[in-house]
Amino acid sequence: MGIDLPLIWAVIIIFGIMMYVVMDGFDLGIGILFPFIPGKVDRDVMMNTVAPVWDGNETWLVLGGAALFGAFPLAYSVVLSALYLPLILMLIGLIFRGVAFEFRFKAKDHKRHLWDKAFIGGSLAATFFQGVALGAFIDGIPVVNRQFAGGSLDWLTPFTMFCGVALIVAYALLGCTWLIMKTEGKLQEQMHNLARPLAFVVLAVIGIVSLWTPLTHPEIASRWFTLPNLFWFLPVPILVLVTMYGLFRAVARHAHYTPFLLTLVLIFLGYSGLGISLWPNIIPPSVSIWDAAAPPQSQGFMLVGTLFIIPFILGYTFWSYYVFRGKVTHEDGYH
Amino acid sequence: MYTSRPFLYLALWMGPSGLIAILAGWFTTEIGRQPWVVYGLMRTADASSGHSLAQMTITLVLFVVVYFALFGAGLGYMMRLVRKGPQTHEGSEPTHGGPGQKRTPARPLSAADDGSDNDHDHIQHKGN
Repeated sequence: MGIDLPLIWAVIIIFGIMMYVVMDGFDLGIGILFPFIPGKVDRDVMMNTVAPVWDGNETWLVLGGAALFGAFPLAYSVVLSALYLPLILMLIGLIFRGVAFEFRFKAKDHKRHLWDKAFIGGSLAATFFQGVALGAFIDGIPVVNRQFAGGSLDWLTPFTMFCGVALIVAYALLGCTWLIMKTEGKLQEQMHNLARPLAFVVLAVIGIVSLWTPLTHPEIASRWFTLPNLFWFLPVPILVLVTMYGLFRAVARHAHYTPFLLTLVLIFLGYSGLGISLWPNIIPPSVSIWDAAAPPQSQGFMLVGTLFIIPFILGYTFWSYYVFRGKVTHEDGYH
Repeated sequence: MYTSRPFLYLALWMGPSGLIAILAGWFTTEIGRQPWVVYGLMRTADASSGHSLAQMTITLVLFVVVYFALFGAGLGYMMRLVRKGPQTHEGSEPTHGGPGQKRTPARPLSAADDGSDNDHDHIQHKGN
């Protein structure tokens, strides 16, 4: 028995996508929360909390895409073909918000509202279409002769639309708790007030997605609800409830760090729930990671470089968060 | 040399020359290898996805429009810098740098001090 290369690659990609979701999640959340905070000064602070790190966060999206291309070319060609339109629209959203980071600070006062709108719209669009893509992925992608065999608008269903909205709410909560951690004073107070209703909505959408998915996908229902699986997987929903309870407590006692950390746990639990539902398929409902794997020579060759580079990415990511640690305030600017 | 008109015009035209060189090189490789996408192994026609013409047209037009809008804004900003001309920095001491100081820029463009930033607004600061 040799090394199970497809398994290693699946773990790398799952890890990369999770890093992307939690990291770009909170900075997309900043854009989603912009409409709630109209003042320029507060918006400057919000943007400055993520300005040094946001583009590094998107490294993981690139890593995930490139790894999928190299290690699972079949999944890459089929999934990206099936999700062509939502992913293009996601990219356009990311382009607008990425540019808004730079131009908003350079814009004259009468034009700044344009870049505010680009930032809000871009963040909303990118998040929504990520959710749509995720929903369409869960719904499954028809494959015939190793090619995508569906229509170009297959992704447009009530379930995927709901997933888009659900992700917007989830990222908003991530952004909100991130700001609780990174700001102080009135802005932090506003975020504390916002966190509670947001957390309620997130709990609701988690509940709805968790019911909707097994109800429409018998194979996912049987994965979760047959014995003994149920006992193995029961900790996930229980931990979601415990984490939610902790989150409400932490927000009530005006904690600074705990809400964000608990929201990360929440996202991780949601993500593992998704993993439980889909494993080991890389193109649901039927193509597994072993079916879609590139030849072992390719996977082994790429693995050497990837295992070399990932510690570096983690290292500089940690370093940049360390350099820019602490609270961001407007007053700090006047030195 | 600072007043020679031909030299100054030459310097002016050097501005877009880098972009032209990049595009020319790119066009040469991409057109030159046709009809292969993997040279000698796979035709471009065999490598393309089965998307409809309408889908490709819409997304291509979308990209062109978005890029024109954003590059237009970027170009406008560059023109603003050019109109302003070079600024002297005599009498202003650079800070020592370090986290949150001006010399540790928080964003790519914040490294370029053009004087049009509201300097107090965007500087990333270490807390405490």
